[in-house]
Amino acid sequence: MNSIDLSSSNSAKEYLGHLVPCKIRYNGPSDEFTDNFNMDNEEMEVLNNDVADESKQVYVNYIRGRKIIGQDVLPIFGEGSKAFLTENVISSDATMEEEFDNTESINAKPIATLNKLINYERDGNESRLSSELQKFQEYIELNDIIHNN
Amino acid sequence: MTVHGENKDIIIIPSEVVALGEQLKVFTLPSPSNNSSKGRVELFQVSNNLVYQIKNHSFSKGSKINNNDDMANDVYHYTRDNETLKSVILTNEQDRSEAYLRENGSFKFALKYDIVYNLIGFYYSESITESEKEYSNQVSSQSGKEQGKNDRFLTLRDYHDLLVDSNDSQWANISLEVLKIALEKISNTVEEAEDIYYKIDDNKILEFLAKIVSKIASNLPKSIPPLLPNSAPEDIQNSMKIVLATNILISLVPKKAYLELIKFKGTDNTISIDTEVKKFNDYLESNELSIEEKKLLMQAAISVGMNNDSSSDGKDKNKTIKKPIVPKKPRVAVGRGAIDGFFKKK
Repeated sequence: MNSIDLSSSNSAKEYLGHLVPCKIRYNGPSDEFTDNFNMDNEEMEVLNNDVADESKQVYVNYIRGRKIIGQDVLPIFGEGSKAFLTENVISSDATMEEEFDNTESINAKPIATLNKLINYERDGNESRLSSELQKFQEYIELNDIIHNN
Repeated sequence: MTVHGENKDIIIIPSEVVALGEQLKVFTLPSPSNNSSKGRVELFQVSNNLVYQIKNHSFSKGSKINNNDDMANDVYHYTRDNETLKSVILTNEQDRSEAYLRENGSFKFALKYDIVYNLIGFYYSESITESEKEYSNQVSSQSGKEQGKNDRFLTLRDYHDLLVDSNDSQWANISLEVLKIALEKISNTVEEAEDIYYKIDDNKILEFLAKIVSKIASNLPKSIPPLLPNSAPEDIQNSMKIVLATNILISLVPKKAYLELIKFKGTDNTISIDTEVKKFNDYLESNELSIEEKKLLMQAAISVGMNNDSSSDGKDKNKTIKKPIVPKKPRVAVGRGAIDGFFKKK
């Protein structure tokens, strides 16, 4: 990546990102989510009943009939931080700077804002979900101490 | 423009960078640890003189340090090509017919980065390692004058030129203002005719690092396993935290800086890491047996788990083949008795 263009990010659409615990051997658009992969609101109400902190609430979904339980990653990064879905546009700089001909630059352009980035694990594996998120948060806090410039 | 999942990235940007709404130019610098096993760091600088590092992360992946435990407990599974079992589904909540799938389950994020570590890396540029294991060998191998060490005081601009010419050309992407902030943390300065001259200094570096160590030690990540049982005295526990915090910096500073840091006697403003390391080591030595025992216990616990694990994927698992049980039909005896005429058989 050679640049990230945040100057034109205001036109972005709003998406949800789901990190699902399986390997999908496909890259590209899909229209299969029109009426499936919807959150199980009833189950979520039960599970989040005693969760006071909104950022810690869990999400319940199903993938090919299997129950998955997730948590949003974004609150770890603090209020106001944003997740973008970017598209990498490869361009050649040859016309701009002759001396660097054939230099390809990759410009990441936001095409959507991710309102949530939910990391899921299969039902019954919630301990891994919370331990990984906790460690990730610790890592970010540690980075803040080391790089508090 | 073709639209493909592999062309897409997820990147999380801190609030203050989002607010600026700039075109961020991404560049790289050598790893500040001068450790050849580590790649270059990917950075960008924003207009308010802050630098950020772009990192990559994937969940459903164990860290190397827990590898044995994870294997023993069967915590993680990966694909045949050693990738995490994680992919991304992206849904447009306003229009569910518009969604993307991406095989790669990782995402990028930007975190604050202090360029001062690269200056330390440059200062000790002769101290090169291939792996972090070499840090435990207390003999520093290099000799002679360090390339990054400079006898002369230099102006900001001259330092910038020196870095671009003798460390890495991509220092050109770091502004003079950012360099100034970093240099001030680890240099002696001289002011002459309204110009400030800088010279990086060993003691200033160690003082700076020792302050960072104190901060890490008092906010030590909870998931780091303690090296001592809870029964150890409190001041030894504190020394242990200093030792752990110092070791965390191994990933960030060259070996020479680390070796000097663990012998650093401290100043009025900082702790003596040397004292804490000695205190901790003395305690370990006097309690060597119990620590050894603990290690053995740990080893045993791990290997027991491994044995269980390896037998579970063996073929003898399905040795006992259950015969399908056919439910017997209850048969009613037919005989001749007193009331048999009543239940007449057709």
